[in-house]
Amino acid sequence: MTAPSEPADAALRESEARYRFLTETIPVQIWTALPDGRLDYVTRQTAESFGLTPERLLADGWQNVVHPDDLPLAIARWTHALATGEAYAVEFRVRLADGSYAYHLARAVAQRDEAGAIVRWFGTNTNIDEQREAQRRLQALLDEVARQAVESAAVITALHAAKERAEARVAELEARSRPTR
Amino acid sequence: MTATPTDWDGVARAKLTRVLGEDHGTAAMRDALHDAGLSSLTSAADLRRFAEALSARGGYAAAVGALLGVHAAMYAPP
Repeated sequence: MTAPSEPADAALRESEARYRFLTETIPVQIWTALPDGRLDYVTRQTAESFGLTPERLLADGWQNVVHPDDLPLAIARWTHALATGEAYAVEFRVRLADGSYAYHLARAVAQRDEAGAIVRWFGTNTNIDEQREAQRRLQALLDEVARQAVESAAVITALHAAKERAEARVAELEARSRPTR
Repeated sequence: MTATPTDWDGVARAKLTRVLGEDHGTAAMRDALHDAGLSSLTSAADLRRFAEALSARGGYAAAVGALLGVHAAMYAPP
């Protein structure tokens, strides 16, 4: 067995350092899972965003940080991905270190060996809470505009009817006050 | 709870919290009241001033301000 050359070692160290820097600094949660779905790696940044250590998150699993209302869909999608090998994608709320929940988009793809068997899942969770809130506000504003339009139409219709009644009354009074010949 | 059309304070609070959410809506209400020099909305004139203060804040708050301006005009023409 021959020892790796020094330039090759240096290149490998540089590559690993670049990879570590990338995974620990980009604002996305990064994780990998075994073919059976168990988490086997999370970045420190990912775990700390939940107020946990990587070891604790790997031991407890990801389901403990997902909002209970969103868990059934997340489990269904993940189970489907594991069974079919299809890409995984789901939006759910996760509980952050400060106790608040934030919507994340979770996505994962399968890495396969030469025979086509899944060897690992590579996943990311991206915080989409601001986009979700912007969507919710936009929809709420549109609902408010629609509500106001209906209300405005009702008020204008009532004003129009009142104006017609007043005009009819004026015409009636004018007719009565007109001198007869 | 639905505010009656001339419950100026209730109408403003309801529209703001529906669009901005409970926390941001309450904060926007408090800040716009302060900007308008008001402590509450007890008349259509108050609502108009409040709507103008909201409109000056931009974004979703400004859109709600415009709706409140229309509401004031509908139920108490200037």
